[in-house]
Amino acid sequence: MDSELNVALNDELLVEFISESRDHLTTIESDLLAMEEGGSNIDSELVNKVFRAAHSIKGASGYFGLTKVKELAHRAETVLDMIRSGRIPPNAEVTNLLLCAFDRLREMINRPGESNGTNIDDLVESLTALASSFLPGEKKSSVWERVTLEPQGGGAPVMLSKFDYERAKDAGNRFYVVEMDLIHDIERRGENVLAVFRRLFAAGQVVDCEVDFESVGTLDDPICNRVPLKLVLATTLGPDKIDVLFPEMQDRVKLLSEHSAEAAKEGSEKTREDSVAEMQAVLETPGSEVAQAQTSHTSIGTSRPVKSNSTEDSVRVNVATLELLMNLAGELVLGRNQLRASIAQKNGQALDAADQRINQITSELQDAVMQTRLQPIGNVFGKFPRLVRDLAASLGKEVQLEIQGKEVALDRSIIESLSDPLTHMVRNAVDHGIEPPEIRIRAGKARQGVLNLDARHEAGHVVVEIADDGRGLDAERIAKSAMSKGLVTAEKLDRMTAKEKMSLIFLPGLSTNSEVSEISGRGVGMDVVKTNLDRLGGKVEIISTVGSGTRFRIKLPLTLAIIPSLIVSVEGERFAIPQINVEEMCHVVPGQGRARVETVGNAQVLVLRDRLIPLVRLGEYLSAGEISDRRGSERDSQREKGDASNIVVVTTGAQSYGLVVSGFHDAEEIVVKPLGGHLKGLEEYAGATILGDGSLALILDVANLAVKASLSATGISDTAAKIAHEDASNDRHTFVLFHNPPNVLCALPLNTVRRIERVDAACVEMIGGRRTMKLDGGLLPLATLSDAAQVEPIPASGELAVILATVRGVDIGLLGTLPVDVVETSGSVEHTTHRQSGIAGSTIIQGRTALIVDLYELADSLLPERGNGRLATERPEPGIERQLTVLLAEDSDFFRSQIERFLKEDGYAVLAANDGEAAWELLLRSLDEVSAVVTDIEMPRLDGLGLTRRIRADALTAHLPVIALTSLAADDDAARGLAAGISDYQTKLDRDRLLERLREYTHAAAAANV
Amino acid sequence: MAACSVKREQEDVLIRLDGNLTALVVPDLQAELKNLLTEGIRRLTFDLAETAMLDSTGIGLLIAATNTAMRTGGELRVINASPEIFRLLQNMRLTARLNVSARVA
Amino acid sequence: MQEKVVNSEYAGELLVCTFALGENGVFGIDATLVQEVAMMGELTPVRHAPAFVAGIRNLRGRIITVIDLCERLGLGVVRATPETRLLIADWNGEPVGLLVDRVEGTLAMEAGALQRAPSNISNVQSEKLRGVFRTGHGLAGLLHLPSVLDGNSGSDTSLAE
Repeated sequence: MDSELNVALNDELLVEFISESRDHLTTIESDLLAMEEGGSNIDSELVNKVFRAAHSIKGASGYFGLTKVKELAHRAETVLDMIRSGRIPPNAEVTNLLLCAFDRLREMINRPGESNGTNIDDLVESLTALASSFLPGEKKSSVWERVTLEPQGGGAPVMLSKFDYERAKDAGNRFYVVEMDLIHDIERRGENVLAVFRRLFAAGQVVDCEVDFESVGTLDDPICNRVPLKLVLATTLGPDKIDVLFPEMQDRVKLLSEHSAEAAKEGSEKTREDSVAEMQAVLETPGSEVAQAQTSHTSIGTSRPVKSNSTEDSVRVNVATLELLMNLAGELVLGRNQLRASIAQKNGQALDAADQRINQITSELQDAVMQTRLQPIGNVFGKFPRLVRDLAASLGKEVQLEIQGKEVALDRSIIESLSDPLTHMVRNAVDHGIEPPEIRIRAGKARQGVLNLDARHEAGHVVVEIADDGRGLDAERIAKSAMSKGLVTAEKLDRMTAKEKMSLIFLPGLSTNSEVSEISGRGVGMDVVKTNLDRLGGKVEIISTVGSGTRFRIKLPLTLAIIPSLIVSVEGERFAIPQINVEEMCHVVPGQGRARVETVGNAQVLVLRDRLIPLVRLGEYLSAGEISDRRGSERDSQREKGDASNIVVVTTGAQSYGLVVSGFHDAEEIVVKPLGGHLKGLEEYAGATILGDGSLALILDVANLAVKASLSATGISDTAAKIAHEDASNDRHTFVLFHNPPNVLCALPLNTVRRIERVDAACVEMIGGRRTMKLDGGLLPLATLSDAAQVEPIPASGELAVILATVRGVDIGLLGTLPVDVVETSGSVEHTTHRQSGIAGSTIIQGRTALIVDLYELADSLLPERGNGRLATERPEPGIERQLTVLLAEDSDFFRSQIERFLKEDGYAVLAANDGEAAWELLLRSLDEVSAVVTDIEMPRLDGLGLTRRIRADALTAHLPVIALTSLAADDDAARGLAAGISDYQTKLDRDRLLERLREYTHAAAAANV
Repeated sequence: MAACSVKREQEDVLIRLDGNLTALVVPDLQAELKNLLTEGIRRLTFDLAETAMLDSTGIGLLIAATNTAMRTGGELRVINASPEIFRLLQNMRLTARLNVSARVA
Repeated sequence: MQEKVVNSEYAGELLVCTFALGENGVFGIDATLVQEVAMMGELTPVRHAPAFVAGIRNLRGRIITVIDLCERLGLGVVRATPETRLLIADWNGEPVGLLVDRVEGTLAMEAGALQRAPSNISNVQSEKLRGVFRTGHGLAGLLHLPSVLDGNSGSDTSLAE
């Protein structure tokens, strides 16, 4: 008998069944929870999925004689079917019940030999009660009181309503179970189902019938291949006569009887089911494990702690990875052959080639094998929804669990080691962290507590955070408890910070909860957590505020992980930047595009759209400190200053900066390998990786690199470096700030500034009554604000700032005192209060009034011969008598007045409006007069593009030249502008250019009209 | 085209068979039903008022249609089943699952 | 008269892997620590690493640190020639590549044959050089590898002649 038992249990098919069932059961939990969440919105796909799982387990288990499994699966299936048809709502009670049922099924399937001895009465009762409570009345009585009958000659047992059975038996009936298929057994035999059933009705009674819906398929399947069913017939016909009803189906018609032992004796063959039955008998002897199991009987409705999955000794591997492995294995064979051949031939060159090939393949093989070990952390997170739900319910708390980062992949061993610590911490959060609803409400919090699990890569580490919004950790209480337990001295405590005190919870023997919580156990938890994490090389950080919540941040070193990254090169060497740190890549072409490199102070900055991004030259940083390069570094930086063309904008989350590199390569998924002990101290590297061609690339730790490259000391203020992307409806202006004695803050629009230099006052020379200085091999005329405005003159000694600009084609240097800064502001520009020559207006920057310098006026007062007068070509052509009118649309008062002024100076009449709509209305009223339109882009109501489109769309205005001015300098803006019909696109306040273009257009138009 | 009439009212479809539900008409009906159900029909009602005979393939069709309806979120009903057909379906324990109701009077 | 070094560490016979470091002579290390001898291969420099780190190398899928032994001992640098080799040795569970100019061979040394280094070679108090012994071609210095590899304190100049 033992050997038969072994046969049964070692059967390959059984093993397969178990494996398949396990597969079904892995996702059932989350499916059921999802169903519960969906509530009345039944996701039929989902319910079907769970139903099919139960169905297939039921079906197959019957074949193996796992009666209890079958019965339980059947009950679950019934309930699921009723959920599917909307009769039973998947509420908490129902879900709990189903969860318990499937838990039990899982247990039974894991130990098939004992499953038949498992007591499932409690579940069966509850499931049956549930089903019956939702069934229409007349069926109720029939679902109670079942009797189990065994088919003679083997097969799955049949359960009938006891009531029906007894009644029929009393009338002298026998019971038969018939397995048949409507199509095969009836249709294809030329019979008619109605006729067949008429005969059955004549002979007896159909006690039960079960049609296998699933097997019929859907309308998508080839129609009507099979309609299998099983029916139980009660009839007075004896076994010898029953064939009449079912011709040629003898083997599928079986007599049913009550006692399995009897059936076994009667039957000639010993079947699998019989061995199981015998085994059952053996197992029921007292003292066996199973008997003990039967006495532990938890009642349904209260939740039980979830048992974690036993470690599997098999692993699921992605098919793509398997194929890769197979390919590599094949390649390896070829490589080996090559190797052998070259050895035999003693061919050194071929040997080298073979060596290289095998080297390459081996690396790839290793990586591929490592990939099979990677698991998503979701595997650990997966059990928490159920855990939190059950635990919270049992403690009378309401907890909402949020999970992010399920797909973060880690090596199996790390995942396994994380499981216990994380479970413990999650339990703690629910048990101790989150308060009961009443207390939360009293504290002004939401009734439901939030528990957040987050996993992410952070260059060099995997960070897992468990955060709750509960009561937080009381550092003092912990400290006191630790002291009273003799774990720490008072003196030591005095010197501890709050964080350090909170970390005391990791000491063994500390538990601030005086009750021993059955669920979390004694205070033996957190020290074990810490030990486990230490073993992995991980660290735990506690961030907590009393009353608000607690966050545990676990940092694990990235020893075995695959991350997507960008490969860049610097002077022939390649480096990898984790994709998560890469914000943007840009290629700067001088004079074009939306990005340019500017020098501010003694540092370089990337101006990207409207952001100022500090730059770090990777090549420079890397060679810094190398003796051989020390002399050359200055030279190099000079040389490279013009070469900043490939920039990766990286971010550490808190800060962004641009990394200047020589070139970009592909984005690749790389395996992170740790650097050796001698290199561990180099914080700018997060590890290294082997690239596809076998060469090595160091992985950059972007955050540490920022620190090491001393980004904060580039001379750009922090405010400038953190400039956010502009809000499109406000004009944001970027100004260069400098000072004029005594303490006047001055500002100049950045886009008029070419360069800023720092010089000693001694460099300023007086030549012919004018200030000048030598620069770049030439003489630079200098101006100061005091030249035109009523301010104090620039000092004659000390360090000065020289701001270079080009006015009407001539370079001019504006002198000022330090500090120099660059800021962006959306503040409005006032242009009346401080109006005097040389000053265009003022604005508030960082709480101080800054005077905006009018460079043109300054230049005029400085170089009167180049003053207001236009160059000869700018004079209006003779013959054009009528004064030309320009329509100006600009919402900024400051710019509008500036532009209006120099348009008028150039001889135009100006019609000004402060937004697109007003401009349009004005235009319509003055159609005859207006010759050209100058418009801002960013305006309220109707913006510049909208205005242009209207102009182009209307036959009366379509001919007008439209010049758009903008404070942005983005390429795609220009494209959009041109598409809308803009004739020319310019950046603001380049007066010369504007006037030139305007002249061109109006000239051409006038000439055409003449 | 199957010998039936299809009446449509938004998401409800009523199919009235002109005769028996047997292997002769099943293939066509299958195609028709499939289209209807995938078009998002909420409720499909089979009217068997004119149907005297039902064979295995017919039963198979009804079951297959119910299975499909489950997946597309629809519902199948069978109305006006003759007494004999109803008895058959009842014995087969299909009346609940196929939402079968008998002819009245 | 050269003293014999009674060194219980090296009882019995010791297999020594000997190699040349430039013109600075021949040295040896315990051969059982040497897992293999490899070609120098392609070294990827690691900027800002200590001077004695010549770079990192791909050794069959593992990234190993390559230590320039000349640099480490303050004897200059190992030059890249066809004879340059890497001795792959184990250091605290991690394979490390030792860059040497030429591998001489492995020979057996009697523990008793180890002698204190003559004072004109070095003022060695360092743990790194345990003594000298005779080979077929002259004297060789026996290095204590763990001491050579431990500590990041830059090159040790005490061995400079």
